[in-house]
Amino acid sequence: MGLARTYPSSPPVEALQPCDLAVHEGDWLAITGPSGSGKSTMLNQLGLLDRPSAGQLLIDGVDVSGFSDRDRTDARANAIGFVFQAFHLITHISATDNVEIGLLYQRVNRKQRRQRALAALEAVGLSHRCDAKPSTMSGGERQRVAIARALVREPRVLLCDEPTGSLDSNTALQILDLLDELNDAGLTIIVVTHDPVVAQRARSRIEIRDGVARYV
Amino acid sequence: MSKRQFERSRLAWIDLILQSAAALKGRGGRAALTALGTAVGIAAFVTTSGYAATARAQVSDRFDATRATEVFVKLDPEARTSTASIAPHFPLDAQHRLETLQGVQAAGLTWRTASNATVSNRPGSTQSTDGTKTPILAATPGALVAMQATIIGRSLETYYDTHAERVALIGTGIADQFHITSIALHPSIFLGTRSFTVIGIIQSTVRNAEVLGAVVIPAGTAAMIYPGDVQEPQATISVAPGAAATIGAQAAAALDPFHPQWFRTLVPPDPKTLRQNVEQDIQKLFFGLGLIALIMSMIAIANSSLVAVMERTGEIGLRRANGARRSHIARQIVTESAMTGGVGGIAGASIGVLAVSAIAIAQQWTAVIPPTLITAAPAIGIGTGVVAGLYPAIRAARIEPVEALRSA
Ligand SMILES: Nc1ncnc2c1ncn2[C@@H]1O[C@H](COP(=O)(O)OP(=O)(O)O)[C@@H](O)[C@H]1O
Ligand SMILES: [Mg+2]
Repeated sequence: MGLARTYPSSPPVEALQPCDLAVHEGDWLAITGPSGSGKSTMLNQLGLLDRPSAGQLLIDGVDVSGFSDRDRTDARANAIGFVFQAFHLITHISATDNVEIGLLYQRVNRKQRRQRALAALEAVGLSHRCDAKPSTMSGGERQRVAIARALVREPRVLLCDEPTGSLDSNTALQILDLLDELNDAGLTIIVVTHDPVVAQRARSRIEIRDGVARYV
Repeated sequence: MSKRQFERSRLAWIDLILQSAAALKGRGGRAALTALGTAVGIAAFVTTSGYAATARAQVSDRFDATRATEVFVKLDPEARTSTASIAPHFPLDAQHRLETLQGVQAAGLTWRTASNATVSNRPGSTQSTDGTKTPILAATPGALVAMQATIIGRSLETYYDTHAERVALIGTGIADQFHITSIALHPSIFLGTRSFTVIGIIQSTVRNAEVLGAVVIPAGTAAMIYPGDVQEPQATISVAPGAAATIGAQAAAALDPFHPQWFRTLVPPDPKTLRQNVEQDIQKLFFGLGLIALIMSMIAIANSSLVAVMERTGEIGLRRANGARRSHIARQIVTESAMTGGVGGIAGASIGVLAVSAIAIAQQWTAVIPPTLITAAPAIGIGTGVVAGLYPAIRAARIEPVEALRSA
């Protein structure tokens, strides 16, 4: 049975109807649809941030849908990088410290963590802003820091929820170029967006309407 | 394959502390204000406890060694009426009987005698120089030792007593009155018509200050010359520190095992019990005040950390998305409030020490601040912070990453 999520409000919201999809290593998948259609719900399922109401989610053939909160946490920490529309950076600590949060809960010593954080910042083209605080950065720079934070863990898949939603179109294009580069380097990317420009960049697309997902 | 393919999340202690410190730094002024609240609470606690300790030390100082080491025995005026046959009296060997008690350092008997004799420096004068009656005391040799009298010349040694010698000590007040400045020329003094050789001048005493204005003659001499003239007899006993209560209980029976009811013993208030009473009252009051201040600061920390948790919903969700467990989040929140409390505790201890010192200086007291209090203050602060952080930590741990990350 396909993955589904119903929010137990009254009346219950069937935010995601049972659906079947497969994401392969190296994919660049866009999930599109109008606002409120269930895109974020889908992403939260794929990112193990939430538990499905029905159906299975297999990662490398392991069914993670029955995982406890703790096991999902461990799986997240190991396999998934997140990029959000709102960046969710801690404003009063440096870019490097923010990127280090991506490794904070893993068994990486502090020295390695710093090295990897600096490397991740370099990968997103922000070597020169390592010590800057997000409060002094532009929107594009902030989103790069957030991407670096997701990359520093060397995730199997990068999940982005409206990564360009808070950016002007020029900056958005730069971020998309960066995602392209990362995908070319072999990273699996899933982007949720309502923006057709973003969706066009993807190699494959899923459209959700009223909780019903289908390949385009 | 299994779940184990995923490595366990963890949060190193050092990271926990660094993250918490960074979070507090980020809250800046607000965190400082919260810590200040705790500092005030702890300062109140340290000040009150330190003040209590200081005041207590002063109280104990007031029970100076002399007061705690004296016992007086007098005849019980009520015993006179109840015992018809024999009038209550001290035994002749009262001094010896008291001296045998364990813990007695010196003891002696004194009484007023020679009721009809007037003290003068001329034989037979009936008028004293200023018209008042100078008291004449009889004393056993031990009495002056027990009074800790400082005497220029000689004291009433046993020889004078047993031989009923007509010698006298005069208090410094009498010496002034009769212009006797030295005993080198063996000055005489007259009690009525009888002359007595002044062998010493009592300069000062620790107890029985009345002897400074009196003429003191040997007990043996008094018994011989003024037999039966025994007014207000009193035993003065100087005892080892801490022995006052025991000796007070034993003295009457030692003086006369058959008529202990004749005697009334005056023991200074037991310094221990008195001190404990004072201690307890001060302690209770101040402890209460400190506690109220602490509880208030606990509420302040809890409040500010709850507000911070709510404001940081997004950050918490982000941490959860990055592999933080609920327990990691909870630990960080508790650590943050513990640090706030700890900083407040250290600051409060410093303020408290300064306050106690200031009070002590103003009162001309010696500041007494138990070292345990100073080491305990940061611990109390941390404890306050931990307790205050528990509820916010639970709330933080309950935050679902999904909710937290909803675009915000
Ligand atoms: N926690 C929730 N409880 C109840 N309804 C929810 C919850 N989260 C989302 N929804 C609803 O589910 C639907 C899909 O939401 P979402 O996945 O956020 O849409 P999108 O990201 O495509 O804008 C919406 O109708 C939304 O109101
Ligand atoms: Mg959405």
